[in-house]
Amino acid sequence: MARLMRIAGLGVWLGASIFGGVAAAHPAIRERAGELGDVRPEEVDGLYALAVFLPGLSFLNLWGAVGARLAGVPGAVVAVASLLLPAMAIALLLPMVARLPLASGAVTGMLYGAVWATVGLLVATGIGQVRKLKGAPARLLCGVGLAALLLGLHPLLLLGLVMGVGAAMAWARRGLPAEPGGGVGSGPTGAAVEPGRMAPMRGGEGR
Amino acid sequence: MTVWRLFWVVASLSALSFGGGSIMLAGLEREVVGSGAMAPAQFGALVALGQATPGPLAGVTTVVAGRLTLGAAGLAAAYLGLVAVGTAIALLIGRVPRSWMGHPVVRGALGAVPAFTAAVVLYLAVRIAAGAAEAPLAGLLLIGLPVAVGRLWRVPAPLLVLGGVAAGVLVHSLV
Repeated sequence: MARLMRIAGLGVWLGASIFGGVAAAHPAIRERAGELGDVRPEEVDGLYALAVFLPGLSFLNLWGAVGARLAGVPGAVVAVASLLLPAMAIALLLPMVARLPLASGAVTGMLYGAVWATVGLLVATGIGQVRKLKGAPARLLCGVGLAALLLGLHPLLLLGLVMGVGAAMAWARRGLPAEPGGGVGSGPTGAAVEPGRMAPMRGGEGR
Repeated sequence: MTVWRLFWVVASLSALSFGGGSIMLAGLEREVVGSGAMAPAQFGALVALGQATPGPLAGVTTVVAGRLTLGAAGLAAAYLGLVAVGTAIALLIGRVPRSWMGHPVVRGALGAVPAFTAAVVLYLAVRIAAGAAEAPLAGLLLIGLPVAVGRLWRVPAPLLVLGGVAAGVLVHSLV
């Protein structure tokens, strides 16, 4: 019960404070899921890839899947329901939305400010993510990915390509000792991994 | 539109929208605007509201659209439609065995995901900034950059958004 309450609390926090959808939520969930139980950051990466590939709201898919990992069916229900509670609160607090005076300068200005604040938050999240990437290949992959998106490549296709590059590099590196800096293809810690096992985490990583 | 119809529309759109919330919103727009339950401008305002509020991008737009279409019952129908399908898909994802993710090649593929996420986050920022047609330079310099710097200095996000909204009213009145 205590774990469900914590899932609900973190779900409400995510729903009330993450601007920019699942891409912005992934780093936060990656950092904080471990606080609730045995869900490691690299496992969240896998759930994220599946959440984006499958239909539905990817943010709901990801947080619900983390809830399912932590507490089974009740965990998934609580996670999804709690993530949408702030949206419900907004719907309840804005009964006048139907009559929004969109021509009013104040309302337009508020939306204008919120949109640019969202841009700022996304830029900060992106920079934070790039800083955490290990090794030059990962940063290069990020830069190439950004350029490809700007040129019109579909994000799902890019995700498949990026994961393919990572898998190919891991395949090519089989049997070689892990690079000290880790990076693309070596898993999040760069540590050697036995098949079927999760890599050991560095102390405090992702916290 | 009835409550059951709205529940079915939200649930089926959610279950079939490969590509995330924006794909779902396109289907929702066709249903609620096409059926005459909502004016196109009203739906457009809801999409803007969804972008400007936290949480799942399509979540706010969907539940507020439900409320505006059918009142409290519509709100509940939209919420339950999202929760039902979201839970089902989450359970499906959650059942993927951990051992699959521990395979070295799979781990290599997953190790590349953060690079993708960083690229998508920055791309989203560029897209949203490019969509803001009105006074983009002022918005970027006076709101976007200060919020980004503040966030990098670990100022809480809700506080930054409140500041951004206040600055937006001020900047919009001046430009």
